[in-house]
Amino acid sequence: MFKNRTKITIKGLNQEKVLNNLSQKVKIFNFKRQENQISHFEVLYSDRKLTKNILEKQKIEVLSYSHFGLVGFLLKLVKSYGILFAVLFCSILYVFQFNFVLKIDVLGEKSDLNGEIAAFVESCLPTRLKGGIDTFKLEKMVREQFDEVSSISISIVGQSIVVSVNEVEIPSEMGSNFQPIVSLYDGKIYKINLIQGTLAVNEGDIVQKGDVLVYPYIYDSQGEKRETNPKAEIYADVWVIGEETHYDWRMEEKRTGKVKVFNEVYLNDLLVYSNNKEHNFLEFEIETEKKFLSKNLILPLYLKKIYVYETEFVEIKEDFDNVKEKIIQNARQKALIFLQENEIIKAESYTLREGSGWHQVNYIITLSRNIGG
Amino acid sequence: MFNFFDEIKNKMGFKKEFLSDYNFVNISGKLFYAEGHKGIISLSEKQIIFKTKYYHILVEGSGLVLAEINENVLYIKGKINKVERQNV
Repeated sequence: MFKNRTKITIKGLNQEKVLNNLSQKVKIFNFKRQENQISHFEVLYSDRKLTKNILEKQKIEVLSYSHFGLVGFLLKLVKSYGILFAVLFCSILYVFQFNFVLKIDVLGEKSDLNGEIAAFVESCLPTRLKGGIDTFKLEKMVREQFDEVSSISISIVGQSIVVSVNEVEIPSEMGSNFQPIVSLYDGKIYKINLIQGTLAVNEGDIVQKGDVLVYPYIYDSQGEKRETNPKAEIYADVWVIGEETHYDWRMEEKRTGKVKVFNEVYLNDLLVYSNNKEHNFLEFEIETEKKFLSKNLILPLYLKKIYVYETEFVEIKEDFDNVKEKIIQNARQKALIFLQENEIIKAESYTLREGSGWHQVNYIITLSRNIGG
Repeated sequence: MFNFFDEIKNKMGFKKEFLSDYNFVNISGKLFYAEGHKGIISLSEKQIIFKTKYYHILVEGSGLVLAEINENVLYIKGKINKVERQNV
């Protein structure tokens, strides 16, 4: 590292003579013959110019000069003006821009209010320079502007203004716009547990979706009507229905088994490659599959695979009695879609309607559900 | 300044001027040091021949490198098998 030397590669005849002449003036290290006419050796960094002059006088061809050691390293660094300039420029730019605020982060529970506060704070900023922002003044302005804010703290962290907001919690009892509880489903009520409000229904009543179940008021001991937030648990038998129709004669579209696959490569929605050629299918279905080709989306390059399936219409004649169980199960599956998580089925049944060449199965599932929301 | 060769000459009763043509020493067959050379005649990995005032000195071996040379002194590194004095 600290041997500051210059390595020189020379080419020419009679190198021994050159070496002898050189060694009279400068100290030569590690002279090695690489090939018949090519040799390399080292001289002290301080002797490089003298060496160069002697070699020029000897008319020997110099293939390369390279410096190593500490001086060589520094020289290389100094010669890399582009890198130095870029590093210097980036450093200055970083230091300069670090004095500016780039974004405003609002930490609060209500996202819509957060957006409003961020816009308000941005409009109130006298300057983007950190030194020119008075956070106490900003806090005061936000408190005056937004009644929903109970406490606020504004600080500058890095290049962000961080606004921490605590919203005012209004107890539900203090609100004035009370709504009645309405039924969310059709059903027959079998159990009521009233917590607050006035009941509009009784056990055994059949209600439809949207019917009022509990009014948002009570009568106090003086007989005066007082508004309140209604609360109740109202359980009803709810029916969900799945319907499936069977036609004894019908045309169905089916895949023949022939498929053609095409690939398209897109760079951010710009088509860069495609082997999508015409297909000769008269009837067909298309399925597509999208797959990103780069990890972490560094390049927005993705592959779109297009599957073209040939289809044909097939005439189907099928007697209902042969597929009755399958149709009923299909109808049941359609009804089961309406079930919520962990709901208990109380009863199941189905009805059958038929016409000329068709049969319809209505599968009914009876559930117990809280319809009061 | 201490001079290894002058010390030896002195110890053996020779005058310094008497043996002032050239001096060399072969250290463990790996390093060769010579004073009083008058230039390189031939140089390769297998042999290096240099001149002195009255003789040629042949150094034979393998992987020979002229590690350092100036107007009077030279060092050779490598596996040194033979050092021979030749009449000019």
